[in-house]
Amino acid sequence: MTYNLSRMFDRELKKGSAELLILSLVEQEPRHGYDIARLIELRSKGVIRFKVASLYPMLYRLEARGWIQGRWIEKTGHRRRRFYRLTAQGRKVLAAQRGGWLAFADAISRITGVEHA
Amino acid sequence: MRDWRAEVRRRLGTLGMDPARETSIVEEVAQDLEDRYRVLLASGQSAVDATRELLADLDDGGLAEAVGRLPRSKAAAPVLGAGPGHLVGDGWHDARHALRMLRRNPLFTSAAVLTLALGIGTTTAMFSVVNAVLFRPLPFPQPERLVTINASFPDAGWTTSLSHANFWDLRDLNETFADVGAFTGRSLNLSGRELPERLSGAEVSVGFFRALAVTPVAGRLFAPGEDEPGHDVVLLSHRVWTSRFGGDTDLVGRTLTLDGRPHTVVGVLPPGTPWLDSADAFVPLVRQPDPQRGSFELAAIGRMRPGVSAERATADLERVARVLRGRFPEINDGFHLAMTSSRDWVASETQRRALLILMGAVGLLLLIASVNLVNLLLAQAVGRTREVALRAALGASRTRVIRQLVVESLLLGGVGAALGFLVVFPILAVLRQADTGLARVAFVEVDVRVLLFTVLVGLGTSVATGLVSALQAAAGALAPSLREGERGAVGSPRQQRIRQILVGTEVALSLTLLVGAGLLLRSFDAMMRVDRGFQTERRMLVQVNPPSSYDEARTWQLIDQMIERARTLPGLISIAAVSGRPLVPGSTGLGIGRPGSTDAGRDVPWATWRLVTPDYFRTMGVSLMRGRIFTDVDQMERDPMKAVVSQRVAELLYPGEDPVGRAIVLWKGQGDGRGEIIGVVDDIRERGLSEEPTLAVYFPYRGWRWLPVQFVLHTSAEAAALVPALRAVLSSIDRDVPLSDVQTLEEIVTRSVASRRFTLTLLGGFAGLAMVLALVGIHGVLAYSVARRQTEIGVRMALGATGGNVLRLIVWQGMRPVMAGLAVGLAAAFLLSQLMTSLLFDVTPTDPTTYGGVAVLIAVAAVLACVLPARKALRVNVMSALRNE
Repeated sequence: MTYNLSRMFDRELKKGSAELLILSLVEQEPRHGYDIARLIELRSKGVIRFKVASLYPMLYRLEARGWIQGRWIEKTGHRRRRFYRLTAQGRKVLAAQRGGWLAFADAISRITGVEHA
Repeated sequence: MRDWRAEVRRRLGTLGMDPARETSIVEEVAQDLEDRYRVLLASGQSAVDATRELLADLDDGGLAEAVGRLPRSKAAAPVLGAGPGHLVGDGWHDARHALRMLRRNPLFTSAAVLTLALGIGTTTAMFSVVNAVLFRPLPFPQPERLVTINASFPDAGWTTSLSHANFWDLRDLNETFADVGAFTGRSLNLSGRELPERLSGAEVSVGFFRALAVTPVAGRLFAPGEDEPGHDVVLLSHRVWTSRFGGDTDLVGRTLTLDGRPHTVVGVLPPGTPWLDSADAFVPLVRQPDPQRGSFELAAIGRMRPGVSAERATADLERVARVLRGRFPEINDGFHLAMTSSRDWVASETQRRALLILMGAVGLLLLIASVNLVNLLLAQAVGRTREVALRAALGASRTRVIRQLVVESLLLGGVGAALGFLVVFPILAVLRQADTGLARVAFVEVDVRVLLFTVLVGLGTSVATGLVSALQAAAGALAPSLREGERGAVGSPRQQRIRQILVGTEVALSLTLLVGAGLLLRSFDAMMRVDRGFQTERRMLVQVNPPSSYDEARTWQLIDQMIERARTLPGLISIAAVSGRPLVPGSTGLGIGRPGSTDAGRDVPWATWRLVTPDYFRTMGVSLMRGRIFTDVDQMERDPMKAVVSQRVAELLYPGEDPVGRAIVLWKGQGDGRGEIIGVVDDIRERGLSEEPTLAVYFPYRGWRWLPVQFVLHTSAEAAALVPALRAVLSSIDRDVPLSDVQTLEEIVTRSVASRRFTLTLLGGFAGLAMVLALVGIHGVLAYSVARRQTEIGVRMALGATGGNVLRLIVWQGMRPVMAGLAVGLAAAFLLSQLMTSLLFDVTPTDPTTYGGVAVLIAVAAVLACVLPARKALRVNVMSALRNE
């Protein structure tokens, strides 16, 4: 039971946070899938890695919800790639999720803090 | 290097998605894999290791499944929906797309299809009945020219059959009818075969089947002149011809022994309802030299001549009635002739009304089913807001998007209608066997009209529900949905409001139906409890028909021996003979009065008369109130006639006085016989449970030869068990006389209310289904909105709201549209129930108990339907609810 709970917790956490990560990464400029995966791995110092099989379904899901939009773009000197940019709606979601995340992290640290005291 | 595109494509291969979309995904993922491959090589891995690692990555997490679960947004496929496109190609595309959508949501699809099948199936079944009873034409040419002709006494407010004399005069005097005919029922014994049989028979005038313009399947109809005495000819019904004579055409010209006399079979009638199947054998109605004028016994029909309008025929009938009033003023005082349309031949006015009410009810049920479907489609469409929005954003025209949704609901409608149509057959099979009290229901069939009806209803329902939900989805989704909220499947407040209105509508409709059913149920209950004045337990009736060729002495010898020997049977408490059965249409009547009363014509009270042997009252459980009943020595005497009367007769003639020994005028206005009241018995409802207790006058049977004879038996055990012994007794007395028409009194009572029971059962069933559908609707809408508000609920709970607070909040939210629906439904029921007045008994159309009870029932059930999703919401994990944000 405990095991299941913690696993569920883990999965939900990852799913929720993964969305937040992707949205954050395309906030400043449009990026293609590999770029996103690479940046996540880089900035998390290798702690978080996205495999192909989970990254793209997630991108498509976010796209289907209308939070990001993908488009095939050819930049000079590079081959055609599919770039994702944050939509206006995605921007709102990102703001809300960020707020939620901060509150959540804050709550966790307060609870764990109390327990340590 | 590995062909990554092939690898990816192979993994997506089974999804059957849009080719453009697939290409895009393959390209994108393959590019990523190429990049990773290069990086892995650069970091020093071997080509083999790198390939193995990437392939493992590709398989881990199930790319295909994950992509397959995504909503089918065609984001990467701009081929879609640019303008109207090719109609056929697009329609095909829409249909395939719709099919995929429906297959992907089996729960939604089956709920929608079942709802539709239920609505369409019941509506079609009901329509089949209405079609059979009301719409199918009569089996006669130009039925619009056929009418019933009645004697009417408008001042007294009653209408009755014609007397013999009036009928023959009408036939001779009228100028507007091609033919008039008369019909009167009569039992016939068929003997000369192994076992004597009773045939249901009828006497018809020569013009009867000519008026109907019937063509016999064999032989001929009666010829003019065959209504003179001395023509022993018979016409057989199609039913008896096939079932008892094997459809033998050689039968025509042969003789059958009917009532002990040889009759020549002149023809066989075609099958059909009405009239043609109302008897097994028809003999000519003989025109007596001096026909009686006072007793109304003949059902008369007429066929108007071509070109004669109903107005002209009516005027002609009035002219004939005026002549008869002038010639026989003392008997024909206030007499008119009235004609009614042949529509009444299959269903009476009340039955037609009941059927139309049922049709209306089933229409409401279909409406509720449709509302539920709209609700389902809306919930589904809201969940697909993004898809719709994306498609619109990508250039799919609004029409195109709406069309897609309509195609989906058409597909649902088609499957639903097909399923509903299949359900109709077993329903009709049950109805055909049921005692509905309605003519032609036994022959109800699915014909082209019914099929067409199903198709139209199916189309109408699915187009309407599809359009309503598509317009809603489009209005809500096309423009603003990308702005609105961020939680995956949000319904806008506007959509939520519309769904609440739908729930309110459902509640109102089902309340209306339940009130109707409730009123009928209370009427039925009141009717079954009403004091009948007689007992039905372990009582049975059988009919014995001594041939008309037997003289009075021989007939009475038979009756006496029957009673005497039956009394010795074990298990028999008492037995008596009576001239007619209670609660069976067509009882005998007479005018009554106190000597010296000046009542004339229409003002004369009308009473039922019965001939009974002394034990009748004991056998039927009718109590003696005053005086005495007949003894074995009492005979029918001419002057004065000794009579036992019912309580109401006594009160009517001698209010507040002792009526025993007092005089009574019998057949008042029809010959004025003198009678003496020797006893008073309790009232019984002879004419129907819903009718007032009958005015009744009883005479001693002995001294009359009234045929056929009915025997009432009161037994100590199951009455039916005595039948074989009774048959043996009769055949030991007379081998040529059959025992027939065995019925328990319970059966007679049940039969007399069959039509009401049928209406009640159907309306009750429809109302029950309607309520279930409405509850499903309430539950569905609330469950959906609760799921949507999980975060809010989580926050409330986190902030300290108790389970009770939240429960109240949600139930209150769910109950608001229910309350509104109840209010509207009560008002609608109040108005619609006025249409039912003629179907009610001892209950007013605005009966507060029914309205209150039904409203409370729905309210309680609705609260339960709300509590379920609310409790589910309370179990929500606060953490995960918040994290969904």
